[in-house]
Amino acid sequence: MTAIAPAWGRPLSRTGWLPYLLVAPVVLMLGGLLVWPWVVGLWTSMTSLRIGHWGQEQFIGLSNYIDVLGSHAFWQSLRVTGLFAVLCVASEMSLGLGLALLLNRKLPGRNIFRTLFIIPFMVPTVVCGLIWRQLLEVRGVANYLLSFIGLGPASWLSSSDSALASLLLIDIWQTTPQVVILVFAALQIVPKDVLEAARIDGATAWQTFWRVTFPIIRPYLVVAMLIRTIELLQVLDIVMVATQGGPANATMVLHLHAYRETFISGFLGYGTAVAYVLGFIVVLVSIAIVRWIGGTQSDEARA
Amino acid sequence: MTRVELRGLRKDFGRVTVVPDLDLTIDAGEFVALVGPSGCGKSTVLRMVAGLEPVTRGSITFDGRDVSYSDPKERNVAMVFQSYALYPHMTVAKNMSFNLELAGRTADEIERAVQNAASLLRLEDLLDRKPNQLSGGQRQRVAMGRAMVRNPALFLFDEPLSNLDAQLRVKMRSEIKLLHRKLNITTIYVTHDQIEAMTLADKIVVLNDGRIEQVGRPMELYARPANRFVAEFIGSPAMNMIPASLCDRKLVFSGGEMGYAYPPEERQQEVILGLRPEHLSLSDQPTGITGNVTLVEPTGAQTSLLLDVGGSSVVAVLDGTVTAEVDREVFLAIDPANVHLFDPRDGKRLPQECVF
Ligand SMILES: Nc1ncnc2c1ncn2[C@@H]1O[C@H](COP(=O)(O)OP(=O)(O)OP(=O)(O)O)[C@@H](O)[C@H]1O
Ligand SMILES: [Mg+2]
Repeated sequence: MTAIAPAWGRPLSRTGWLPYLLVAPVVLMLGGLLVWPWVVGLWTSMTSLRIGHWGQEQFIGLSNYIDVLGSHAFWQSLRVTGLFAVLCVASEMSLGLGLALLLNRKLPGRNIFRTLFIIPFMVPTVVCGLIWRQLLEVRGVANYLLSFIGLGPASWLSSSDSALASLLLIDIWQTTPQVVILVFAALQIVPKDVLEAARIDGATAWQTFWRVTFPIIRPYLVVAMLIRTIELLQVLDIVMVATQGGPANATMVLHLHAYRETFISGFLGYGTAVAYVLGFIVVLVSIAIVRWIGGTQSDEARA
Repeated sequence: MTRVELRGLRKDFGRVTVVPDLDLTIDAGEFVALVGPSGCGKSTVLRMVAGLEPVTRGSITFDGRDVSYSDPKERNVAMVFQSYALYPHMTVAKNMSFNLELAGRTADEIERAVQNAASLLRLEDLLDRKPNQLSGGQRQRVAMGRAMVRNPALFLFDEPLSNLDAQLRVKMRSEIKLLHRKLNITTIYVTHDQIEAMTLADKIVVLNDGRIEQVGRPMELYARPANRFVAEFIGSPAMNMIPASLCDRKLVFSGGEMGYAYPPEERQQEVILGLRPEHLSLSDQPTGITGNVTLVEPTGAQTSLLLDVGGSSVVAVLDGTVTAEVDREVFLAIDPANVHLFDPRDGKRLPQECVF
């Protein structure tokens, strides 16, 4: 035994640096792909860099950020983004939950519906935006159909009253299936015998849902909500295709605002600062969701 | 205390008939064990009584009230599931009080009922835990507690002890028995462990393929099994079944022979001789069965011998003081009072009084 012991010693001492060597490629890759661009971006946002004026930028500290927070356009965009995100998340979550519950029951034709539901989810957002733009055009299908019941043609996407609502409709159509899939998967983890125990305990369908099913799938709902919120705060593609932020900036979401400042107006430093503020907001909101909604889980049991 | 009657009960799953036609009466306050091999329909019957599984045909009545199509809620039954089925997000106390809460009881009443059940099942220290922080036996007790707090019309147990280790199982078995003696609530207890059935039940129902093979008090089933299936199912180790034939006032089988008085009305050429292992005893006379010892298994109080009797094996459970050696020929005495005869064609019990 004593003769073997020193032989063990060597590989043991090697474990000092071996783990670091093994994770090094991943760390370098993450560093190169995530941290480095992030640092460059942060630096850019603190300069006066402009497209076409390369090499003339100066370090100006936080003054881009101060300008952003003092800009009316920024706050207007933030309002639009916030309103859009809240409305979308609320309607997609409730609609998604309802549809998932429906699909989870033994209804005739359930499998056909399950398949149909995934289709919007599979359509690329840009294609989706184009389809809906044609449907909602002044001379589009929607107005044509409405004319049969005597409703006059409306300019759905080009009137500042209805543009955001139309975007809401498009986003609900496209991403509710994503929520349905997540919730449906969550419903599969609720044990059948626990639901039966609730029936034996005398719970109605309504009570069973709110007192048993909902608390069990709640962490999954939080994840779905988190994913949707993050995506919606950063929404760009659908707005760009359907309305370009118009009319009269009624649908000018923050991401699009940052994009326009950066690449259309050419203020790289300022635009990047807007994007970084957006990123900061996304992080704050995500933390809030996980804390407030995700964290109350254990309260339910005590309540 | 509720009297339960099942009349012409049938259950089909699609085109498969699981329970063809079941009649059973359970008296008020009775403890009935439903036993049978895996897949024979025990859980299905229990779930129909609970209202979790719709009946295909027939009726279920509680105290004469037809509940065949009522919700579980209206039946007021309490059920302990094989998998416990505790609410994973609720504490032990919440799990037990969920029913009372839904029934709109006051906080005081709930508190008292939960404390009562908790002290009976020794769960007081666990009331604030979640199910995933409990051991299997503790979960089982919570499942029992959830049923107990309710004062239901009927207790339904679906193999509640099958996930426990042997020691805990024995302990919980006696707790269930004490509980029944104390509350005296009509109980249907599903198990495939015949010892549980024998020790707990006032009445045992032996099911096979959705049909009732025999209904009776435990000792009745043990002493006078109606057929070969029941004879082999009740008792452990299982009854020895030895092919035998009747000729010339003798019951002849490969390991020996016994006297037999022909019954005047019925003549049977071939029979199955059933001998319980515990009814055999060693003898120094070459009467009864003669066989070679192939295995000796001392368990302390008892010693079981595995014998080779003319090609078929026979188990004998003997006193622990007996010493036997492998490969030696031994003689086993048979008490004619404890002999069973079965018809090899349909397995039915034959009159055995003429064996001597
Ligand atoms: N939902 C169902 N659909 C189709 N067949 C079913 C269904 N439930 C049970 N069965 C069938 O009914 C038969 C009886 O099942 P059951 O669960 O009552 O058996 P069991 O006696 O409780 O068995 P075990 O001792 O293994 O629990 C089995 O053959 C089973 O395959
Ligand atoms: Mg079963």
